Amino acid sequence: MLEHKPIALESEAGFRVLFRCATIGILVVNEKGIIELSNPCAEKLFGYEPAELIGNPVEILIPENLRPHHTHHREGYFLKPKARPMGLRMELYGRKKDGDVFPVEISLGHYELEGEKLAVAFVTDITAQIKAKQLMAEREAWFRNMADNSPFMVWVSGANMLCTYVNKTWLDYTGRVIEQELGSGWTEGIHPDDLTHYLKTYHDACVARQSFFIEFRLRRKDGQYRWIEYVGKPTFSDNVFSGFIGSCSDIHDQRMMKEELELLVKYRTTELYEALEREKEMNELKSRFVSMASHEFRTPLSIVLSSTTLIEQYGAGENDEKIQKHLVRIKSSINNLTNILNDFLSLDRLEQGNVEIEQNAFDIPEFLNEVVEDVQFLRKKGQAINLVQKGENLVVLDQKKLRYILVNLLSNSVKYSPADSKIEVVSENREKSVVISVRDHGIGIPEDEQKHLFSKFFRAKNTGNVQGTGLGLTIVKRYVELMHGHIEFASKTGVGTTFTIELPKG
Amino acid sequence: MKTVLIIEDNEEIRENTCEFLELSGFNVISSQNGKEGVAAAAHTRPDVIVCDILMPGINGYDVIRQLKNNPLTSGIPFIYLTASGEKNDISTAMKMGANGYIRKPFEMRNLIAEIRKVC
Repeated sequence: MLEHKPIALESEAGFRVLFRCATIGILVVNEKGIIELSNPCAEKLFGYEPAELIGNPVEILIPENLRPHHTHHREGYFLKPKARPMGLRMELYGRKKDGDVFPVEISLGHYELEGEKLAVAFVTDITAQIKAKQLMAEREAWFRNMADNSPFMVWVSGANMLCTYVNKTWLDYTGRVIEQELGSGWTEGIHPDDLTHYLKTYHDACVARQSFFIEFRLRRKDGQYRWIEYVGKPTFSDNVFSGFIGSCSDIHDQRMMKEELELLVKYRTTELYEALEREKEMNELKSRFVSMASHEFRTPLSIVLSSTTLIEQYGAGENDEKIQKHLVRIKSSINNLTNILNDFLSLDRLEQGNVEIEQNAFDIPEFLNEVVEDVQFLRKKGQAINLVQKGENLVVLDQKKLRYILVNLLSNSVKYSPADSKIEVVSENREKSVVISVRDHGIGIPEDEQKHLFSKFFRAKNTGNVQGTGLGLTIVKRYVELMHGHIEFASKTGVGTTFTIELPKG
Repeated sequence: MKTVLIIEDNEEIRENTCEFLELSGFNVISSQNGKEGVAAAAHTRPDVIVCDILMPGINGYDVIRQLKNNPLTSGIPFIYLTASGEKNDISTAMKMGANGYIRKPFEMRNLIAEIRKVC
């Protein structure tokens, strides 16, 4: 290891080096206040030439208005000299050669040389620090002004998680003074039920140095706990975490409105659900009623029908013709009642979606003849039903439903056509569909009522006292649609009506 | 002469139906409920059974089930009489082995036609 010989800085030469190279101004002043020594830094600080200061009173370096005070303090210092900063809690100023006054910091020392007391002043120009301080103060004032005029409540906390600032808006809201809010005092205003959640959220955010958002209830100056939205963002100074800055706003009314709205929606949804349930129940009841009514209708109808059949068997003797006529009417009424009942049931089944297509192969001409036979009893005197069939005889369709459709259309034609009129049924078995039209020369359907033709219980005004429920065509249309077909009609009052159905083949 | 067993709880319908069938040349036996009907079927072995579906006590479905489970009666043709408008009821009845059904109110001639179809 090499031997190190320290530089002899304690020698006069060494101290001279320190004196000359120091970056702080050094002045040595005697008891009379005369500058004995000054270093280059001090000369530069006060704007003097080298050695220019020596022999001059130190007061030339003091602003004129402060010189009397300085003389007094200088004399007092020499009475009890000690190393200390000068002018504690005072603002000190120096005066340059050109008259410029600038802020300084001065530390004093003392020594005795050849029986003479000397004071050493270490002088620093603190203009930059003062300016920086002023700038910071201006910025802080600007921030406080902004914050105090903000409609939002603003808060600041330090790295120790304690509140260091709340703005005027906050204080106006809580009705408290700043001293009550600083530190953790402001948390007294948090609703007891929300405090734990807030503290945890804030603590976690502090640990993670992350922004956070929370809603909790804060006590307003009128004592009411109100919901507020509280946001915090971490702050850093030279990359070191320095706390949080945040804002909050009163969202109580919006939150209450939202909760009310949610309650209302829930209530309405419940109401709607209950209404739907009631509707469902009503529909079920209705179906059950229809089912029950069906049974109740059918039983007495069976009795009546069987009785009349028996009367027919026994009828003999006087008034046979009248008995027969009445018997026919009774049976006809029974059949009508049965048809009404069947129509109601069919419609109910259609509306419940309980009807299916049942296809089978059948001979069209034979089928049409059966249908015509079914309506024979309705025919008026001289009415003729002509059948025309084109195309192949065999077809696959839902024969039962087609029978209902055609019996209904033909029945209507017969009912609403005069005696001695013709009714034409034309059936065409095409490649992909069957088209059947029923044409009469009856009373026709008034034009302004045609749009209601397929509506439930609709009877045109010109039907008079011709029997009908207004359900037949409704069911016809539903059956046609169920079979994926379509139905059209053309009608003119006093001329007649033609219905045309087209059904795709199975 | 063919024998028909009528199982029907409604007195008027039962009597009218029996009367008409007798006039039409059938030998007729009747029961006013399902239980009696099942016993009568086993005892008399009719050529055809005509049975209502909706009856108090055991209904028409139970009757046909019991008849089908008894070798003595399982082969007897069975025709339903029904006042129900429900397609499901008829479908159920046919799946249980009925040979036909008549919906009330019915023309007697239709009943005769159904009976003649099966015996």
